[in-house]
Amino acid sequence: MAHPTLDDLFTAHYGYVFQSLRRLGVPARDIEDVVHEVFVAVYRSLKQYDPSRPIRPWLFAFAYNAASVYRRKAYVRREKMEEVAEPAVSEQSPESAALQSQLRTLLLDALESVNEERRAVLILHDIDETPMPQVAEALGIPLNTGYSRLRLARQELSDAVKALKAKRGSP
Amino acid sequence: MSENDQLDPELENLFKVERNHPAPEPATAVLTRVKATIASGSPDGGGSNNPPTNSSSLGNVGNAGSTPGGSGLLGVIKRMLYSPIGTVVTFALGTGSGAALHAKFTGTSDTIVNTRTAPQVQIVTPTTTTLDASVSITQVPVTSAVDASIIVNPVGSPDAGRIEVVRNTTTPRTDGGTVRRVDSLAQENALITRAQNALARGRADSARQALTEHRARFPSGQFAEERDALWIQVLARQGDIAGAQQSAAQFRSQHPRSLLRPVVETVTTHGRDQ
Repeated sequence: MAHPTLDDLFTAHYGYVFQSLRRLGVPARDIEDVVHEVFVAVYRSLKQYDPSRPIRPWLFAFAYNAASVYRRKAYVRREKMEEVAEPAVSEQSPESAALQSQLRTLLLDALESVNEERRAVLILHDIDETPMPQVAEALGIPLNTGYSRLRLARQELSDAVKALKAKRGSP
Repeated sequence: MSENDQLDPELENLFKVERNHPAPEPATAVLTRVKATIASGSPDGGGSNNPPTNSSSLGNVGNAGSTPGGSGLLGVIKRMLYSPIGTVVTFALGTGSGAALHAKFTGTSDTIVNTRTAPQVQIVTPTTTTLDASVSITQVPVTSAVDASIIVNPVGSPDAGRIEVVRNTTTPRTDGGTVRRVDSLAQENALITRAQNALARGRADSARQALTEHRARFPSGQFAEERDALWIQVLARQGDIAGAQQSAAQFRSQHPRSLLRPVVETVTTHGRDQ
């Protein structure tokens, strides 16, 4: 099986990388910069990619690492800045779109409360629906560690959702 | 646990919403930037030709965010400077960005060039016109709330004789902690920049001196990772390949996800930096 080209990868998976970074806590205002870094790194490691393996968990590992670096270096401007508005869900009534947007904001905010390593497992497994063996492989962790992190991440997320809802009023 | 045990229905609903959220269309401007960054690299792609072989582990993505060495496109560099991750990426870009990085971290400072009459600072100048080494005075005794770093660039360099007086602050210290943090960051950055510049000019001894000073003053500083990577380059430059490889092994274990790993790999693979 041939290796995909950078253009193919970018076209097919830009959205996935973008969404993954958002879920990993990179603010919308900086996402394009981090996406750029991800694809530069992906390009450099393309020869190591095994085309017989699913591409998304592999790409997610790059996004996870880039998001970690972003967070670590973000001390230079830690202040909370106003978020850039993201595109609304199309083909929905305004009420429905508003509710979806509210729920999504709730999830993204709650994800911020989940430990970074555990959050990665949860995103890959519960949102991307990647089987746990592939999650463990992509993140370079033992399978049991994957399950353990998933359990804790769900608990943390559930607690965070409850706390946020109590604070904001249930959507 | 099984994969679907204990999944709160409310969470499942939130996940469903998230899955259905439309992904953005590919941004061609970003692809253009990616290609520009790749194209601005060295012909062999810097460390990219020697990535770790285990393609499934996170160790593989240790070079995420890295850029090749050599001179980058000015626009790309400028853009990177305005992003937090740019601080590291810019470092990886090499010598051309050193001064810009210095400026970034001394944003509240004044840099005075070719003057030896800066207020509150006394500079004892040598009678000879030949300056043989970089001189850094980082703890200048002052009587006011002004401290400074002075950097005299060595003879033979493009900036020979250029003296930089970096005043770390001239504003009242209403927040001592923050000012001190910014000061130490600026001082750290000055040392790292000095080491970078010296290395780029082939003055491994001067680079080593700056890095030794950084290690002594900021053993766990914000730029410890960059210092350690530069140290490996210095050792390789001085012909201490065994020392460089030993330090590289230490670097990999201390900074497993470092952006600078490609640089380290290149140095240890080729015996000296490119």
